[in-house]
Amino acid sequence: MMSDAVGVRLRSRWLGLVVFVLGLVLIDRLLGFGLERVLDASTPRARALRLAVEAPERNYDGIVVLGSSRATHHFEPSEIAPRLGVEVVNFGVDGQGLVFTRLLGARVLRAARPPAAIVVQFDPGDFCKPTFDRAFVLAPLAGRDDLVRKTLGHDWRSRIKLTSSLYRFNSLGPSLALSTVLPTPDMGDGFVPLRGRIDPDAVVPPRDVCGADPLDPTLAALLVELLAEADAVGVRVAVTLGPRLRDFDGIPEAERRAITEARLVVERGGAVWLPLDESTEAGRFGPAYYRDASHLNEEGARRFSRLFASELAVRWPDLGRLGSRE
Amino acid sequence: MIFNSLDYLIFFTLVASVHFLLPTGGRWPLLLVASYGFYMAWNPAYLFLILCSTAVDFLLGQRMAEVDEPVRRRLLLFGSLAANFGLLFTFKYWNFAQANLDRLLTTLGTHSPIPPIDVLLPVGISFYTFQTLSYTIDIYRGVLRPEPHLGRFALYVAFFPQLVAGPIERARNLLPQLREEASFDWERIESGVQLMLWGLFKKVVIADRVAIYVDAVYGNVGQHNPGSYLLATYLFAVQIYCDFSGYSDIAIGSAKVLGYDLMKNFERPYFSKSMTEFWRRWHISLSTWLRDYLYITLGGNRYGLSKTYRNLLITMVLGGLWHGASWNFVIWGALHGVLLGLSRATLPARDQIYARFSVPTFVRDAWRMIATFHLACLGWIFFRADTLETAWMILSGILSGPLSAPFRDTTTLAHALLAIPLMLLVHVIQERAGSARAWLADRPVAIRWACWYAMIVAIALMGVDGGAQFIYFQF
Repeated sequence: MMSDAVGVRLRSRWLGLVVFVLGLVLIDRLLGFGLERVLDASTPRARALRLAVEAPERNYDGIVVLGSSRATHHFEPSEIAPRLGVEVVNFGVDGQGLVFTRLLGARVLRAARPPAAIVVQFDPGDFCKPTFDRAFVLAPLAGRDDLVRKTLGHDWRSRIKLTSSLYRFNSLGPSLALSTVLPTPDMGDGFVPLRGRIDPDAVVPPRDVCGADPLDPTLAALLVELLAEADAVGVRVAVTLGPRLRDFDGIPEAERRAITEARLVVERGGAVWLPLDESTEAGRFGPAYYRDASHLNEEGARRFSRLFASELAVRWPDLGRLGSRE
Repeated sequence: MIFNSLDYLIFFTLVASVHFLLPTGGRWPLLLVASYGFYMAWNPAYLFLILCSTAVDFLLGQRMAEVDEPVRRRLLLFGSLAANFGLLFTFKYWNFAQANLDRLLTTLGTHSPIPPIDVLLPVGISFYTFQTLSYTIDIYRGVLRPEPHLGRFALYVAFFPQLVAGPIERARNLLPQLREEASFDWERIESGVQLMLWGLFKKVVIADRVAIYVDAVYGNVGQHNPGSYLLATYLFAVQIYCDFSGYSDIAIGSAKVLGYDLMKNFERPYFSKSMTEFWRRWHISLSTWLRDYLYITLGGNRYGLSKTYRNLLITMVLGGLWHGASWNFVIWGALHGVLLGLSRATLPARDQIYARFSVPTFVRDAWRMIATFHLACLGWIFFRADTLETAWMILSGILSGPLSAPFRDTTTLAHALLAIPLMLLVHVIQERAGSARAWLADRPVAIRWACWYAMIVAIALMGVDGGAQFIYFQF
């Protein structure tokens, strides 16, 4: 039999635990609320969050480029804009993928004056490597954007995590704190050039971005949704593949399947498919144009941007007229 | 299933709750099933290896206790060593040996007749192999009686908190606890949960955060300058400590909640004043295993200085190889063997110098601590680099200088600057008071709770999400 004293002590322990947990919930809500206010009052320094916060509030006059680091460092607006006669902004974000592109794209399309067109830089890995975790950088917006909450809460783990107001700001604390005291740097047109060049003698094995992972239909659905939303608001979409430094024959089978699937999705969605990767004659760049096997250097980006603009001008000769619409 | 995941939180809460609801006799089956389930979350097929290891050592242990004849006992021990090292060699070292043999034979104009094998390294194989080996060796030495209950022995081999990355437990410590069965103890649970939280803080707030910087530099050596190499190496020293000691804390804390005490694995190693002390504080369960079952078996320090140095070198080279089938680990181990020998050999001369120049104790201790930390960092370069060429590039870069401004990753460095001093503060309290938790327990409840709230907030706000693997899982 448990003595009365032991019973009382145990009850007080349980009570203490309950109070501790309630205190934790309160702290979570209070700090989360405070961080939301900081987010409202400042410009985030993290590029991904800043783009997402500002995207619906901007007025666009031409093209928005979306994608990963292979968008950020490959699409130079100053080379593309004069060839198409429209303004171009680069919204690529290093380390992100199709999940982020889907969410940022939706926010861009929600602007009072959406762009004439969006360009989605596609990577074969986008259809086989889920990037929900990386897109968690947009979690601070989960309380105010249903699509962000629904997309990031794609599984039970993420839904549990998103119940914490504080957790939504995971990894953003110091960056938000700095944004309240330091001026946020101007992003310009969003293009970030990469300097230097890869060792011309470097052996670059064909990187298999899909590996043994099968194509994931939920990822393909994200692109389908984005194309449908763009179509609904009259925004054109071009989906493009960028080059890598490798032998075309070395493209693994899983990647080929991802590319074929993407092409089908794009064509069904009424968008333009513009492959400018190493499988095309034009997309074969020499090592001098690369900073590393996956990224062009500044010179390579200029060449790629000119090539891309010329190809797009052929597909959309009337783009200049659309871009300057009122 | 890794410790820094929601899955483990749910799994552990369920196991711990059911554990205390069951009568004592029903607890070992629950823990055994939970342990096997925990392991199968990685690769169900490799459970077969644990079952083999368990069956072989259980049977040989029983038999060894029944036999008096030294030759037969030795044969039985040899059987256990052959079975365990055979599995370990096949799954961990076969391809390394094959590749090196092939390289050697290629220089002679031929190729290795042995083909490589296509296997994944089973998680934790080095840990549970050493754990089961300590059981049979102790029985052979007559310091342990065999466990008569197969189920409890199986649990000793596979106990989930320490199955995949230690601490490498001794049968003498764990088996008696598994026999006794623990009762519900609030203080113990509280203390275990606190230790788990502290381990989680070290893992996700510090180790996984600084890993971003370390990976960026060590993964692209050609893109960075010597200043970045140095900073990345310092940060790797922090990363590997926080990663592994964080894992150990969660393991020890989990076991404590369930009512079992695992051995300490780390004791603030970067506060060491010599390499000898470093190995008394770093990965204690491995270093004591190597001491008890290898160094002493080789003769230890009983046969003169030269044999002592030889034994140290052999022990550390094999200790290095235990970490992984790569020349980097062999060199890391050999380097530590040499440093341990030098530390021992030069101690009298160094003491004389300090005495002659009347160097104050705190200056001497600070210098020794800094020097030991840097020697450990020298070893970490080989440990972290993917290849010997990369290690050499980093080392020569740091040594040749100039140490230009390192690459700036503001977010990572800002997080590190907030969290690392906090860990150091806790370590200073631990060095002075023995236990930070005991120190905290003496504070008013508001301060205690504020500290735990701050730690939980730090984990939620600053921890790296995504469940990065613990570094030592690969060993």
